[in-house]
Amino acid sequence: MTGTSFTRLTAAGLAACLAAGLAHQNYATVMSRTGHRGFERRRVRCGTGNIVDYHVRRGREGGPAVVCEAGLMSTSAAWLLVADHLGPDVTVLLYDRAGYRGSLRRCPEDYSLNESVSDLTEVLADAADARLLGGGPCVLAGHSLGGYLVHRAAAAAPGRVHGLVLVDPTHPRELLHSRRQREGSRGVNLTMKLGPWSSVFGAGLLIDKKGLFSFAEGSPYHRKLRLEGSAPSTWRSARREWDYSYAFMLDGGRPLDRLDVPVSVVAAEGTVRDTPEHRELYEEYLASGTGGRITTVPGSNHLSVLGGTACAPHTAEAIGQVLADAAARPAHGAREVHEVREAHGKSESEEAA
Amino acid sequence: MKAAAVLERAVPAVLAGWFVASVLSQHPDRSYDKLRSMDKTGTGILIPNWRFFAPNPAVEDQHFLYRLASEDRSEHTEWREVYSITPRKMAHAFWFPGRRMEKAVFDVASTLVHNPGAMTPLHQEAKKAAYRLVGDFVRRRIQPEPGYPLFQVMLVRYSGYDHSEDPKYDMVFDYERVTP
Repeated sequence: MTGTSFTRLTAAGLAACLAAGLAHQNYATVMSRTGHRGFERRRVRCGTGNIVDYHVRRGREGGPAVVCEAGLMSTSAAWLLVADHLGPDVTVLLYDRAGYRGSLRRCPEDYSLNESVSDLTEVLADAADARLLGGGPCVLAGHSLGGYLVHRAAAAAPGRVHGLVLVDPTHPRELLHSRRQREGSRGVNLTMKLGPWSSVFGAGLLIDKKGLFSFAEGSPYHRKLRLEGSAPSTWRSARREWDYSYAFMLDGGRPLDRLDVPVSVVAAEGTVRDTPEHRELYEEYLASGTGGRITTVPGSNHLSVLGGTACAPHTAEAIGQVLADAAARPAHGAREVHEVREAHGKSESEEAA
Repeated sequence: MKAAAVLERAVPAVLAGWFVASVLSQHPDRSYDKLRSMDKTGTGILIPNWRFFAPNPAVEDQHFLYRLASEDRSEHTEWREVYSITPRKMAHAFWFPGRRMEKAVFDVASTLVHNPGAMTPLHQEAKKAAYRLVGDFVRRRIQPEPGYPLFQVMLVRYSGYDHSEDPKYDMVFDYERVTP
C-alpha cells in the first residue's frame, strides 16, 4: 500500500460523496416544486410580500371546503393522503407556507407567526374571490404548528370560517405545561440549528430516513415526503419558524383567541399516552370555540396521524364529520366575505400551473 | 504474486472507504448517523465519532434566570439573573475557587438537559433530585416582591463573552412557591 494511493482514493471518495449529496439535494429541490396530481396550483402575492402557492382539488359546486395547513417542516404533501380519503364532493385546498416548496418568502421583516397567519387569510380570500371554495361551508384544518396557525387565522378572518379541525396541534403553552415536551424540544433545537447548512451540502443523504419516515410506509406519498426532507428550502423555513416559535412557547405564548365557530381536535394516541397532560391543552382548544369534540386516532403518533396509511382514514373521517356538522348549521348560508386583504395592501392571483 | 497485487490495491481501497465513512459520520446531530447505523456491533467503534470520549463538550456557560409570578400566574416580573458568571482572568487558570459553584450549576444542568429520552428509574430519580436542588438554589437567591408568591426558573446557555450572540433557551421549570 502506498500513501499516495490512499490519499487519492480518499480524496476521490470524498469528492464523489459530495457530488452525490449535491445531486441528491438538487433533485430533491426540483421534485419538491412540482404540483400535486389532481390539484390545480395557484399563486397569490400577499401583503407581507410573500408569494404563496396553494393547490386546489375542486369538489361539488355548493359543497363544503377544507383548507389544510401543515406543521413545522411539513408541506402541503403531508395532507395528500388525508385528502385522498375525503369525499369527491369536498373541495380541498392545500397550502404551502412561505419558503416551503414553491412558495417564496419575500417579507422584508423578521419572521413572526403573525406573518403566516396573515398569508393564510389572504389565501382564503383569494380562493374565495376566485370561487374555488365551492360555495359551501369552509373548515380550516391544521396539523401540529399548523393547528395553532389556523386557530389564529380563524380569529383573523371572522365569517369566512365555519369550523376548525386541529390535528395533534401545537399549543402555545405546551412547553410550560409539559416537562417532557420541554426536554424533547432541546433535541429538535439542535437539529434545526444544523439542518439548513447540512442540507445545502447534501447531508440529507446521511439522514436515517427509513426510520424517520417509517410512519408513511406504504403510502403513495412516502417518496415525496422523504425527498422534501432533503430540500434546503424545507430546512431553512423550518429553522425560521422554529427559532420564533420556540422562544414564543418557552415564554408561554399568548392566550387562545375566542372563536365563534366549533373547534374539534384529532389527537394522536401516542401523544395523549406519552404526555397525558396534553389532553388539558386540547380541552382548552375545544373550549375556545362554540362546540366540537376530541377524537383520538388509535395506533397513531404525531406524524402517522396524518401520513400513516392506517391512520389517515380516521383523520379524514373526523374532518368529514366536522364538514357535515358545518353544512348542517344554517349560519353558513348567510356568511359574509370579509375583505381581510384590504389591510395588507395589494393582492393578486395568477395561475402558476 | 497475483494475491499480493490484489492486496496491494484492495487494502488502500478498504482503508480509504473506512476513512471516508468515518469523515461522513462526524455530524454533531445524531439524525445524520445513517452510516454509523451500519456498524452492527452496537458500540459505534467501527465507525468512530468525535463524541466518543466527550459526548457533549462544554462550550457555553449555563445560567439560571427566574421570574416572579402572581398566584393565578397571569402576571410576571421580567426574567432576572440568579447570579452572574465571573469574568475570567489569567489567574483563574491557576486558582479559581469561585468556579466551584459554576461547575456545580453546570453539572446539575447537564443532568437535566442531556439524555432527554432516558426514562430509567435511575435517570428519573436523578432528574427529580436535580429539579429540587435547582429550586432550592434559586429560592435562596431571589428577591421576593409582594403580590408575587410564585417563581419560575429558566435555564439558558450563553457564550459569556460574545454579546452579539443571543442566549439559547433550554428549559423552563414548573412554578414553585417563593416560601415553601
